[in-house]
Amino acid sequence: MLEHVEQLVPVTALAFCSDDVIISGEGQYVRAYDARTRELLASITVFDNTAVHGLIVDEHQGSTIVAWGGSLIREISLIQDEGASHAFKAFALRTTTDWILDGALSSSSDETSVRTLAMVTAHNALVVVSLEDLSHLEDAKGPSKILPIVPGSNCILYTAHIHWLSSSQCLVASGTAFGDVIVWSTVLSDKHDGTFAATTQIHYTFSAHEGSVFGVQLSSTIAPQSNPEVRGLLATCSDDRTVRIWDISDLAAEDPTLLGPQRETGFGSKATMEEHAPRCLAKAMGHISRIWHVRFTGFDPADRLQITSFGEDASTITWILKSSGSAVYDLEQTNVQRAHAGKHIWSVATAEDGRIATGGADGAIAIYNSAAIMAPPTELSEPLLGSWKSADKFKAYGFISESTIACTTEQGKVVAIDLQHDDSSRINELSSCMPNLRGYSLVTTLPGYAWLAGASGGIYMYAHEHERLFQVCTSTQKTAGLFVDYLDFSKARNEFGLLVTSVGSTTTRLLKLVPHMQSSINLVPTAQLERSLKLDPGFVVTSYTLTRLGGRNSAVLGSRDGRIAIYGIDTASEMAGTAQTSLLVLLDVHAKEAVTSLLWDSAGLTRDLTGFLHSTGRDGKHAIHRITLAEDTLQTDLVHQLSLPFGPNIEHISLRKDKTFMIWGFRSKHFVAYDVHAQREVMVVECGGAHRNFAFQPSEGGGIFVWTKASNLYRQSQNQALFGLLRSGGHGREIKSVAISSTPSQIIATGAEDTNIKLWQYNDYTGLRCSQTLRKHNTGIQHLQWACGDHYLFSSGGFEEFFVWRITADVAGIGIGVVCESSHPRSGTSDLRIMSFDVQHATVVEGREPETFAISMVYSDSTLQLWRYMTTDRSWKLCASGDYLTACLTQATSLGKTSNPFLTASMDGHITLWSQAEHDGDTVAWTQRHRVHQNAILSLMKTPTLADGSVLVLTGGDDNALGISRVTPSGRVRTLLVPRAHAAAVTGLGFVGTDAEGVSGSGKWRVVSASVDQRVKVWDVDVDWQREGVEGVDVRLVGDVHTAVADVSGLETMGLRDGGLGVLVVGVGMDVLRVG
Amino acid sequence: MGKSSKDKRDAYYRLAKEQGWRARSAFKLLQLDEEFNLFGDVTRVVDLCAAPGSWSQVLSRILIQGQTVGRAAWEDKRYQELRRLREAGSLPEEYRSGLCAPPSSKPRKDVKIVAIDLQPMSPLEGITCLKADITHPSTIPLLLKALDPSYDPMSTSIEASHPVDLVLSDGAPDVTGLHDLDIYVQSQLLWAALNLALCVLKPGGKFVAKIFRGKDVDLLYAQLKVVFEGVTVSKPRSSRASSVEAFIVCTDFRPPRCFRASLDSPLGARNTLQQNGDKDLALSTERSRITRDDGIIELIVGSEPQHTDGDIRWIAPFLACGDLSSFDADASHKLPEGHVSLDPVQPPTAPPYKTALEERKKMGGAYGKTKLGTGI
Ligand SMILES: C[S@@+](CC[C@H](N)C(=O)[O-])C[C@H]1O[C@@H](n2cnc3c(N)ncnc32)[C@H](O)[C@@H]1O
Repeated sequence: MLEHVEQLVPVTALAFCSDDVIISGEGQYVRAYDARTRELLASITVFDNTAVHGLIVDEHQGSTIVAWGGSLIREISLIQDEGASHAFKAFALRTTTDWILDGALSSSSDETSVRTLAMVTAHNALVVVSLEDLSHLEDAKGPSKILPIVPGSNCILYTAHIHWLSSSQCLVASGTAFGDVIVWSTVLSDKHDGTFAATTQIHYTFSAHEGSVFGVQLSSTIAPQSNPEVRGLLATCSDDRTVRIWDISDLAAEDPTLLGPQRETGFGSKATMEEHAPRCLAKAMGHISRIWHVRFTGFDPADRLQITSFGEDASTITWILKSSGSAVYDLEQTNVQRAHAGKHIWSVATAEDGRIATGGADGAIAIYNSAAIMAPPTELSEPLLGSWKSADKFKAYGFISESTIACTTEQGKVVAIDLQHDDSSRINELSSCMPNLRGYSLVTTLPGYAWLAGASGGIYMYAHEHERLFQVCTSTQKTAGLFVDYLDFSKARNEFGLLVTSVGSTTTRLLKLVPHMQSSINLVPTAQLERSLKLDPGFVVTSYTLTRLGGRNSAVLGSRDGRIAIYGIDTASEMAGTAQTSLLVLLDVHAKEAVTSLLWDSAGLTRDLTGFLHSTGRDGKHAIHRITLAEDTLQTDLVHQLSLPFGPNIEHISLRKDKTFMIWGFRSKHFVAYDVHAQREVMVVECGGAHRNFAFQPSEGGGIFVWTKASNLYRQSQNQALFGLLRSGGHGREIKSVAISSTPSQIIATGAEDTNIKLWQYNDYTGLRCSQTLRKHNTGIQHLQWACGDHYLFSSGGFEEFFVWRITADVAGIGIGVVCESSHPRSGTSDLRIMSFDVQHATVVEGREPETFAISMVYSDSTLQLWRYMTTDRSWKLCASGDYLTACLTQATSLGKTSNPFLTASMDGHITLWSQAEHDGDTVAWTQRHRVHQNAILSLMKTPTLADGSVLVLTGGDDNALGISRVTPSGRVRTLLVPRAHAAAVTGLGFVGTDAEGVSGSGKWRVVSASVDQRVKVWDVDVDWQREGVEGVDVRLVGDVHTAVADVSGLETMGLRDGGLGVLVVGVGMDVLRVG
Repeated sequence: MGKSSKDKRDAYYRLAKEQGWRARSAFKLLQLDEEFNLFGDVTRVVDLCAAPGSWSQVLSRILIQGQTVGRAAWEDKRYQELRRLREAGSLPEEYRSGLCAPPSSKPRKDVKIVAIDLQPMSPLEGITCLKADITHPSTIPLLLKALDPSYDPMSTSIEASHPVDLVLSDGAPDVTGLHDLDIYVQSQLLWAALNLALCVLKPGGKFVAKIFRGKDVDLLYAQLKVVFEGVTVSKPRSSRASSVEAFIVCTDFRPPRCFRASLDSPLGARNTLQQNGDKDLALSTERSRITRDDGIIELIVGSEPQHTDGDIRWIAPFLACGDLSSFDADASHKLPEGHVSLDPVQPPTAPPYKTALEERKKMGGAYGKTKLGTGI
């Protein structure tokens, strides 16, 4: 009845399988990925309703894997057939008596000997089983239980690590909820009847941390390089935000005081245990919240021991254990990575070759590239400017090739610097000091060329290929801005449009530079045509691009105060002295902040009458205008305008060869380069902040970033990304609301506690793909609803936040375009939550998009407000409001096509009917309350109006019940309740099929419900309308499956590509199920 | 969140401060009592996971001081306004119930209350407070000794000579956010509490404990049903609808015939109670349709207790508690005119990362090597 098709849930287990294969535990699945191609190789359900919390791979036979979750264990193997395709094969399910925290396979020198699996439970018990014993096929008798051989204690552990010292002895470190760590070992002897005998001793029990211990890691082989005395190390991490390293070399030490029965427990009662503590070698803080895991991760190039910790803050921090004197150590932080969104790294895997992988609550899997960790930036000034360093400084610069910049100096010199190699940059002097470049100069570049200007006098061009510098024109005023773009859009001929602005001038010069045939054998372009563009008052040019639409060329200029002006540049140059005015000006494109870059993307549209103008600004946004040439005039539509996850100083957008965009800018003290398509940061450099000269040349795995800091020039390059994402993640916190557009495009909108809204597309090939992230809310999202197909999305949250988003599908280059068209006038004005709302088109004119929406909002303070929003002038009007009692309202829906009559549901379990009083237009009053549930109604859905005018309202309650209420036009409500529909709150409802015959008076609905109990159920609801009230309603349970999504907050029905019906369940993750 | 905005967001937080409760949890117990009459004929009580002690305060006021801590004592003007409306006959039915005069009560005799928590707890007169971990076996003799000073801790007996009438447990772990793990740890606390209850509870006694209503909660319900006649899951109105927290109210303790509480093999995930045949029957429901007094038709879809992987699942009936007219924990409330936000009755206990916070402050908002620790 229900079948899982796709899910994106927290990654709770990870392991490196072979060189190129990584396996993960995602919900009840184990999956294998190709680490290089990121392809999903195989997937298998290992447990029916339990998530996989641990995975180990047999190092000798890379294909043997043991997975566990809760108290369940299963061996699986990854097989590759001749066609090289992979598949998993599962062996019998086994169980033990308690939650398993860790497991390890005994290492054995020869491959034929028996391998033993040892596992530690949450009560510090040891469970041992031979691998052979796990490799049985499924048994009809059901899973057999493996009992512990070391019984354990009653104290609960949050973490444990088990490590084989030899083929018969394992060492265990366990961490308790109260900060204690116990180190113990067991010698096992195989009794050759499938059982083992064990002798256990405790080596250390001590109070290691001030809070719960969440991660422990043992090593018996590695030691800090400077001290061969230390042979065994323990790393621990905790709630108290520290990582600590302990010397546990002395395993002879046995704690004689095995916890006596009268020991006082609880916080702060550990004094007696201190003498059994190992020596703490070092401790350090770095994470801003709890630390979940710690690992030994090899040695740095200086041969110092590396430790890596992974936190609730989703960051991965690398430390080195530095000797600071004999037997004195420091933990020094060397690297911080944030590969996951929001919170929590739940799983970690390390490979022998030093690779690290992490799995997050966001569903992403990251593989870190330690080779890519950047060396400290190099300073260029000193070696290059040599003896005249004190007398001269680098001034303005730009890239003229992959690794070369053209640069002016304080003294007016022009140089080219080759940055190919980290340590040995080479400088090439192109000209000696030029007077008008002294003290003030500007540089703009394109591949192979640079243009230079300064105070009045010559404006120069440098052609790198010929290493020639020459003057292209002169200026009588000081140059304020210098910009360049290709005139020839194929970029094949060296035709450029150079834009020169002068200080204090109300016009700007546009020079056409084309190859000058006579004067040069090298085809070096020289100025041929010049036109003057008139600037609007206050228009200070900060960016520029040339566009071509329908054969027409235009120049587009961006200003320091957020304006964009477009000029036609095809008409014959007008009389000398008259400047050309703009065709149109767009205001406040980036609020009142500078437009930092412009980029024209004709997007290869065949008609060539439409193109997309991208802009970035210091308001932190990337905007796109669709520009259309219609009947000889330009039409512009803003189709996209979203904040980026860094900024507010966004400096540049560029189009890469693969047609994806890269945007760069700053976040506080860092430079950030961002891949728009992958929605991830590819390079981050600490440079001191935004206000400085800099240049960036992106490349495959990063790029070269050059910047000026305190008059010195620095360079940082990166040629590999610091981490790769094997699987991209979703929200960083739990999803609170979901809505799917009812168009063929089926855009999925999800809103989460991380305050973001994401737009997704789902298909069978790519699975769930997030195409946009909308960052505007300051609180968790409460509700989302689509209107006009996929043209409008509405969202609400806390602080009365309410936004109207205009969506444009098929924006070339980025897919879905999003503009926040308006926000509700009261957004951000109070701390009330808009719990839910309902949107209706108030006026529908045939063939046109509606211009007015009627929006009914329900509030956390038990009030209801009816608003009208006009798209034409983005105005809002409060039409009416009303009070319920004191309970928070949770749901809102109109029963008919208009908002009258209206229905709400609330935390007190009632559904309530409202009507707008005729005599008093601006208040609404409830007319009827009807109790359905005992407490909060958390989900609600209604059928279309039926032949007799009544509507069926289905509700899911916090009281575990499913309610079906029939509401007649006269306002009569009758309810049928299914009390124990789920074992916990029913938070999602959807229709997945209907077979209603209004006339004959009977109907049948298939309903899906989802609950916090992590079950998704299918119900058949039969209705006989002839019968009174709900007498003729009957409900049967027809399907019931587990979902790996915890904290389920809703579900939506959707069509699958093959025409089948599916549901999407959201909460901590997303789960797509097919309804059979 | 500022104190005042928390007052608005959470009416119970404000009320707790105004009425001198150490925690807003007090209202949960009061509301559970409203529905289940937990304290009728009760004199000996164990309050597990009691810190900071608002449940113990409730016990103290009702049992020791003989106060009436009914709704009348803690509801405020807004409620009285509703009541006035009711008198005008304009309120629907459910607002009328439960408004009868509170029963008068006086201090009870031979009251014994023992409170246990990991965290130290400020003393409360007449209540024995112990600092101990309820999951640790050493806590059983500690508790027995506290209940009955003549108990010999060296004896092997772990049964109370004077059993108690009621065992409460409001224990909750620090949740990690990994739901499966949090649910597991919470169930372990519940088992530990039940284990202690099995040692000290008299037949017919009551057991009330916090439970996370999430995945597999039906396994726990089925287990509790083995030793208690009545098992109901209840959610007080003062508990947020958005939280998984609920309370399991178990009445009429029926110690299993050949059951002896044991230190060595306590109940828990590792050691479950065996169902017997009749119990199995008691867990099954037949398909039925009943029309309730309020006109709602209840449809029991009917189910057998489900056996999967040897586990038995059963969904306990649900009962919301606390009068419908009382504050909704999820609603925003207007603060009364001239509202002054009070300080909490007890400052919160220092978190384990207190040192970390201090360290960070010293470094000007960042740790050790600041530039790596921030920004990225
Ligand atoms: C929600 S508080 C209890 C509030 C209390 N009922 C009141 O009204 O003030 C949960 C308490 O459980 C305690 N706790 C958690 N695990 C425990 C354990 N293993 N043993 C004892 N107490 C525990 C915590 O220290 C915390 O004080």
